[in-house]
Amino acid sequence: MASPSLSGRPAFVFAPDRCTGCEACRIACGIENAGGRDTGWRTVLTFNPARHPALPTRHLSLACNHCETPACALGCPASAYRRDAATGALVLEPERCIGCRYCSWLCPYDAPRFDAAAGVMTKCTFCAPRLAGGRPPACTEACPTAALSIGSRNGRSAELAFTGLAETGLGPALRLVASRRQTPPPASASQAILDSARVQPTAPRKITLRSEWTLALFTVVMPALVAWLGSGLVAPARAPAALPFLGLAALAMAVSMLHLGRPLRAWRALVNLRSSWLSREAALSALFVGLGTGWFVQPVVSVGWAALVAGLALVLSIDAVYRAIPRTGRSAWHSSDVVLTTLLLLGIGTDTTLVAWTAAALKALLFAARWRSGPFGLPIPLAGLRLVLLALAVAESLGWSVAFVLAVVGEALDRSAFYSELEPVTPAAGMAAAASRAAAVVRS
Amino acid sequence: MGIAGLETNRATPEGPCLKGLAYVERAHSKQRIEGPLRRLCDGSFEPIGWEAAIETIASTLERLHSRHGPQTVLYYSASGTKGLLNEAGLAFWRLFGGCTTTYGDLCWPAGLEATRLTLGANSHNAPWDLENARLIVMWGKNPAETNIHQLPQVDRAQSAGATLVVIDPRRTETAERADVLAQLRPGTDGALALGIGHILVRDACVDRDFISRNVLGFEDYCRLVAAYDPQRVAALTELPVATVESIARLFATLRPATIVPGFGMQRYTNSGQTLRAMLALLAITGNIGKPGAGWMYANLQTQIFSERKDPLDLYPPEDPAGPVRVSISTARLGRDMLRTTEPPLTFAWVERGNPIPQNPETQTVLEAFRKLEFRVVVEEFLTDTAREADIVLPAKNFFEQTDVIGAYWHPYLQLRPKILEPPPGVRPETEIYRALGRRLGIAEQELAEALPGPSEEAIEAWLAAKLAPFGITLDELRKGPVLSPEFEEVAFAELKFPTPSGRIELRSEEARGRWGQDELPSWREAEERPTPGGPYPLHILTPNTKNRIHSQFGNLETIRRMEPSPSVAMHPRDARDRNLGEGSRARVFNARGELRLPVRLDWGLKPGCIAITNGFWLSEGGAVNVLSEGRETDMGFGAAFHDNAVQAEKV
Repeated sequence: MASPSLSGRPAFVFAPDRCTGCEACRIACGIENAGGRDTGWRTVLTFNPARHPALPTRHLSLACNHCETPACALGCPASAYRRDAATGALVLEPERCIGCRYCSWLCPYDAPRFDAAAGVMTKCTFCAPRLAGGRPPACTEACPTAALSIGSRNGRSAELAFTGLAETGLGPALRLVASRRQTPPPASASQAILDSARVQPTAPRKITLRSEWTLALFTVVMPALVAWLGSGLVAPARAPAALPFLGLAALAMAVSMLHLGRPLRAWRALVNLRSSWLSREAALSALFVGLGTGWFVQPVVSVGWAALVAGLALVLSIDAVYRAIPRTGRSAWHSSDVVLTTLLLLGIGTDTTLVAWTAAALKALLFAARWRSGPFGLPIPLAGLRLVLLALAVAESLGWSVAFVLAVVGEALDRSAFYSELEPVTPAAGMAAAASRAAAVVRS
Repeated sequence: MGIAGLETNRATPEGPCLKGLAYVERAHSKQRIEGPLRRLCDGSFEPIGWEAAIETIASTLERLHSRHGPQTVLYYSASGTKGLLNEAGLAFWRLFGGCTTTYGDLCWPAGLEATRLTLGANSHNAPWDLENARLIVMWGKNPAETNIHQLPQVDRAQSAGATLVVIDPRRTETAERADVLAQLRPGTDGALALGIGHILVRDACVDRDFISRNVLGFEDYCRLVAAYDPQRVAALTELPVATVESIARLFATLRPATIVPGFGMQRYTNSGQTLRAMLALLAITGNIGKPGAGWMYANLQTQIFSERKDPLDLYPPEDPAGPVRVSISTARLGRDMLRTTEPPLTFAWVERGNPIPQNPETQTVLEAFRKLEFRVVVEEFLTDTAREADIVLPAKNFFEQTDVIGAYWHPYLQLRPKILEPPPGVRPETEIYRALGRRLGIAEQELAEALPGPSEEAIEAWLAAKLAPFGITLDELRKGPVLSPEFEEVAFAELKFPTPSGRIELRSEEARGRWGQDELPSWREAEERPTPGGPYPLHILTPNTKNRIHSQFGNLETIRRMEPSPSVAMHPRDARDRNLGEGSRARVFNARGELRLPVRLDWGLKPGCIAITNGFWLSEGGAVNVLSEGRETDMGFGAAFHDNAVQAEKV
């Protein structure tokens, strides 16, 4: 989505020195946009809420930053966002939204939220109607200390470490005002050993396996189907029968539709091929399954190979969907990446040892890298099992179908860990990381 | 519907605080009582019609009146809603023949009296004048949470180079902005003030010229502070000597200086004397009667409608005879209710107040209320006090009846016009009294004289008559806030002090004569305080927060999101000593009662102090006054809530 130049358009200006964390901004948003019945779209975060003596206690008020390069809009498969040219506001159109929640994973500011009752996303509108009429957004008008106000997108934004807001390249309409106070008040209270776990509460997880198990299923079944079909092209005896192939495909796609807030609008997922990997993934799924079905109906070799090409493009797009998510700290490459899974299964299914062992080696390396870099999404016994299954699958001592199934089970385990480990950037997580860094500085 | 600010009020141009905004929810809250309720045997409530309610109340009143006389009725009102129409209450009870009522106040009379004895009146510079100060001392005061409109003024003063000192046992939100934070032992503020005075006298940094012209008792004061050397003060207050010296140095070198005392700090048995000692610092440095200087405690310039200003009109009358028996100390509500005889109390009418959780010694207040035969509570929500009622009558909110209000910080009179119709079952107090009066057989003519209304025109005519002597019209008020006729941008600018001597009195004979206190602002320990190693080694602070005004607002959903339930804040050292961690369940107790609450760790507390914020309800397990004792402050008949020592243990 090409956005016109937003120079001179409004931006939120936030001065942390003046903010007391009172949340009048949040309450005013709720009054303006939900008649006072709901909490509104603004969140106030507090750094060092337990007032550890070595650090200042500060607040950060965030809503949507109506970014120049909006990750949400660009990633939305249903093109449910539109830019209001006059104000620069990025507005969600609920009738177009399918409730897939992908935008909420792409946004590092936690702006789009899922409205479970309506089945669609909801987000700060910048009070665009007010802005158009020359009035500031409700939150900025309500702030009793002028900590939150409205200014212009032009102008510098100060770097304030406590916020944990990383440079995202999205061009947010948010300017932070430099702080006069970076240190805590000189107090006569006792010093204490700084324990970063206590300075900042851990941020709640945005993604859990429980919430995304349907996607885990989809991203295990589809690579398996692509590899199975590919194997069948090379060795016709190994080709899948129509019923199991279509049955599994239907299951995977139906289950992933359950992930949507508005499953009946699922067709809208095909709308934004231009910029959304999720849209492309949806289209390629349909293409792969369609061509695969065509191959069963009329076993023409070229149709089969076209299906395989579509399937390979599909698994590439699946990985791309997840790679687009900004993460805190962990690598964007994971041992459960579906391209590797597809290659592994293809290698097993076509007896191409080089491919199978290369894929397995890469998976093992990435697995080890995860082990070192942070909390592991699998309990130790299951992690061990995953490695054992991978080894057995490429050991060449078992029949291809047994090896194939063992490999799929092993990948299913690892893929479930993928969702448990996936930590999209959130302001709360960013602030927790900032607290750790500040604690390290004080300790040294 | 929304709420916006009125820029013509120069003290609050930013508009409402978060609680004011929450009024949008409050005005339409599902929890609101919208018709009379009667309590059933099992403690639940059922709606009854107005006729039945009035009939029941009136017949009970008649019966009790004939048996005991009118003073068997306790008329209890507090500061839940302000306005001139509030006087309808007492006017009605006089028609009834009289009643019993309270003297003193939960809020701030110790400080009012300390100021009255010293300066002669409670008046301070306009709020926006704070921007002119070079030294601002927030002494037991946390405007970042409890007077948000003052914060931009502090911010502007600091931008212009002012120094901010915060004196508070807690590192508060305000303290984050301070240049100096002195976390002293609670109850020792007076000792600190005398210690600062000692240093100023020692270093000859007082304003001799100002003192010679305007101050009475300086020589005696010097003799008093001689004993408060920095080492002794540091030991008493548990502050470093360097901190005491640095604060004194700031008073010595920075002019003009403003002290903003907090009301919480003013609720100890030694508070009156404490505030006199603090005020003395401004007197001896010439920080009274100048821009940017002064004592921003109470500004009663808008209290023009009563003959006597606070605190005098809160005291028992000199002549105790009369239809209204002013005999119950607000601080000792429970005990005084129980010991009242001739006649004993059998009936209570409560409006604009919530005494069960909010007055000290909740158990005693409950006992006293339960001993009565009948209770009527006029309320918006089913509060702890309303739950004790036999009949609850629905209360209006302030959008539903026109009235005129003043303030106690800024100098404006304002109109509070009616902008909402009350729900069909809700009547304003004036109409409740009218209906009750008619049923009691009070003459229509008498009712018309005592009670304004019922029509809008009648209310406005009544208000206009009150305003007329001051040359203020309702039309003027409709245009915007009007400065009080007694407005002074700089209080005491002419250095005329309405004290017996005409000077600022550091030595006050009335302190001795009326209150039995030292003529000079001497300091002594609070009556109850923690004993290290003893049964109750912790001091409990019960500060106010931005989220509530005492027991109001906390029940609203938008407020609950921020502080859904009560907890006890503890310093990690105190918690660790008791095997408590974040989220552990603790039992906080003393001889008077206990609370069981989850722990929140807070490094900002002074070790030895724990904090439970004020205003949680008894029904949610957080009423802090189950722990407090009903004691009066040393002057003013205030409530010494904070003479309160507790222990905490793991549950």
